[in-house]
Amino acid sequence: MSLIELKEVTFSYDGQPVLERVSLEVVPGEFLALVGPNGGGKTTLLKLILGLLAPQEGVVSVFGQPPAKARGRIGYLPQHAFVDPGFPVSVAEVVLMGRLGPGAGLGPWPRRDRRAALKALEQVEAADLAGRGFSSLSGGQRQRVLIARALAADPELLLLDEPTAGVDPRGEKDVLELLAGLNSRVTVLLVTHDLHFVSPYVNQVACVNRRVVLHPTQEVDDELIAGLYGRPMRRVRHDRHLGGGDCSHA
Amino acid sequence: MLEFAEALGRHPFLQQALLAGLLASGACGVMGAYVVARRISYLAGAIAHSVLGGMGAARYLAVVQGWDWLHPLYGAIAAALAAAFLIGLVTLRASQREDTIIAAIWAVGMAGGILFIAATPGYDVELMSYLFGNILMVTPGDLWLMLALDLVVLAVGFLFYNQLLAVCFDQEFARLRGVNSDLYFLLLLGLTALTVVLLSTVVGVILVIALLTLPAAIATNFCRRLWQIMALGALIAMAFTSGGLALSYGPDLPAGAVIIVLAGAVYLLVALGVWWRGRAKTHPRSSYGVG
Repeated sequence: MSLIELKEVTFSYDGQPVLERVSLEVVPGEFLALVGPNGGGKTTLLKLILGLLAPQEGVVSVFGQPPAKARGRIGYLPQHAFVDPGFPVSVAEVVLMGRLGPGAGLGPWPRRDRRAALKALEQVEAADLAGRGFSSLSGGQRQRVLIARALAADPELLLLDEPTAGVDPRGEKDVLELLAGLNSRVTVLLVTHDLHFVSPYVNQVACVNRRVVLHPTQEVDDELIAGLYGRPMRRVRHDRHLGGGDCSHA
Repeated sequence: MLEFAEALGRHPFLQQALLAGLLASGACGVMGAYVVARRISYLAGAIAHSVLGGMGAARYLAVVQGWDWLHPLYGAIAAALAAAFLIGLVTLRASQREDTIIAAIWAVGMAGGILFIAATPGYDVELMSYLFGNILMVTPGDLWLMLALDLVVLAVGFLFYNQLLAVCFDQEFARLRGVNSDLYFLLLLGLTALTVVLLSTVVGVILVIALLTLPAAIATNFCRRLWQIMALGALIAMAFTSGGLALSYGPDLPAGAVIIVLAGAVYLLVALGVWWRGRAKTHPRSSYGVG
């Protein structure tokens, strides 16, 4: 059974097509990177899977359900620019937000949720940060805490929008190793700019640029990387193995 | 100040004024923290100014139309909640010109109030006390109504703390966790509206915005968590309302204006202090030492 399935999905903002007739299947246990140029539709694709956006054409299903119904089983890390780093909140409080849901009661958090939040922090090796203020953390620590928030509800699928943005190179490696470790239990799908850094960890790469083309990681060679970012898109030729379309469709 | 302490024992109206300030400060601390953290001072300002429309309409209906039971505060509550709802919808739904629409609500609410007050006998005194507050005119009946508003704001703020915190911190993530973000945002504005009404009895609709935000803004320098800002902000607001009242009594100055000037002065001092400390940290003296 596929965990995520997009069939012939088309999405446009104000008549400007962002994704055109995109089909994609993700099976459980996968570690998939979405790469592609700015404005190519990576974040849009994530938001379609989360049900935050609805496609004009085509069908998106997650766990065999409409995305909005599957949300409870998805952990999500938004782009770091969307989180106010100066907000007065403790690390524990941030992670506890991952425990919210229709079932969450009113008033102070019960012990069960506090324990789950601490467990999520332990999974990202950041339990010692629990009492710290979120604003006092480094970029790498902040991403770890937000990943713990995504993990707090025991998701079966993790969607991460640029998890290493705003993180120094050493922290970047730590975050990716952490995700690779989590991948033994959870399906992981991440958006990234930095394919070179990510490719040792993931087992599939999807090029997103209005169309989506999947590549097993073995095929992610220097030619593809250079093609994506080094040269004009129209010259990219990495369709030999799959025989259909390339990343640019310029 | 000593004069004030003496007078406080003798005059019930002063005791009522002091109590009104203390009551309003509780809700002020809680909602001020949300407003400052979520950066919606501008929305709170628009709600505050449109309160004048409700006060004016209630006064007009009571005096001219004979609806004696209609207290200006009822009109203020209705107008504040309506403005909060409208501004909430504009913020959530309008993709463009959001700031223009909110500024329009701000001014149209005030203009409506001024028209109603102009059509009501006793124009000048009423208008001045609505605009700049008249804490010395607070009656025991007002105090009960203020207590009820205060309890509503504190109870809802406490019960829905987790949800409101999540919606303020990251609205989209909260929605993905099954929290109705839009509804909670409207609740946040609704509670802000009730707080604005409470504070407007102390300092008037024009000065409300400073009393709502400055205590929380000061507390933000000393606290890392929102509930701490709420608690410290409430204490600071109590100090401002009581201190302003006491300072204004001797020289017979308008209490609302003195409260706001006091709050602004303390904020400025704290901001300077924080800046000075930050400077001392980045340029420690030892770095200029020999060597």
